[in-house]
Amino acid sequence: MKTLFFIIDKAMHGNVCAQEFFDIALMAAAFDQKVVLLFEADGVNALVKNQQPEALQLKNITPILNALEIYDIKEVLVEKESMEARGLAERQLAIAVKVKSRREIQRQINSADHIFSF
Amino acid sequence: MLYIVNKKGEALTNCVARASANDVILLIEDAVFAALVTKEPSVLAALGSDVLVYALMPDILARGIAEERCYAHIQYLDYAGFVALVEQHNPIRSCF
Repeated sequence: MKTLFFIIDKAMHGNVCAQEFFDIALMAAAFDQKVVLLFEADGVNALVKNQQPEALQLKNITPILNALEIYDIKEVLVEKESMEARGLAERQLAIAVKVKSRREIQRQINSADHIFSF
Repeated sequence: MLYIVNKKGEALTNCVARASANDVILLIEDAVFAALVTKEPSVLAALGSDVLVYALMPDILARGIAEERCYAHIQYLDYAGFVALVEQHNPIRSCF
């Protein structure tokens, strides 16, 4: 089993990349790889509650976020510094995450077999 | 970790903020402009001396960038060097 990091580090609603990116992550998990999702920089905005992408005729990713555990994606990391910089608190997020410092994340990411970003 | 960056701006700034000791940054495509000395402060200035910065030579040449206009600590790579760098590092993160 390989450890794959999927990094969401930019805003998600401008195009369909993010949607497809999640599909890749879910597919990797379905093939029994260890998937870690990491949200940092503007990517942390993807986790906030009360998103209404239907207003842009886009698919809502919140149900996917809620389904991550069913796909055996148990590790969802959020960079503490990115949350703080944007004035976000954990209670404003749609799902339970692990908030870790940049330093802790860098240590963990160095053990990854592959890193995907979009 | 090897960071491969293909744009200046946010992608590069975020990558510089996260690179730590023994990480390597490779500038390709439009990110090679970050190698140029300009009147604006360099994004790369925030890096420690233990982070090596490479620029991809074909992208430098294509844009008419003269090496003497670049920061002295930048190192240059051809495609074979790019492949060697990829072989030597794991994991690799592409920053778009």
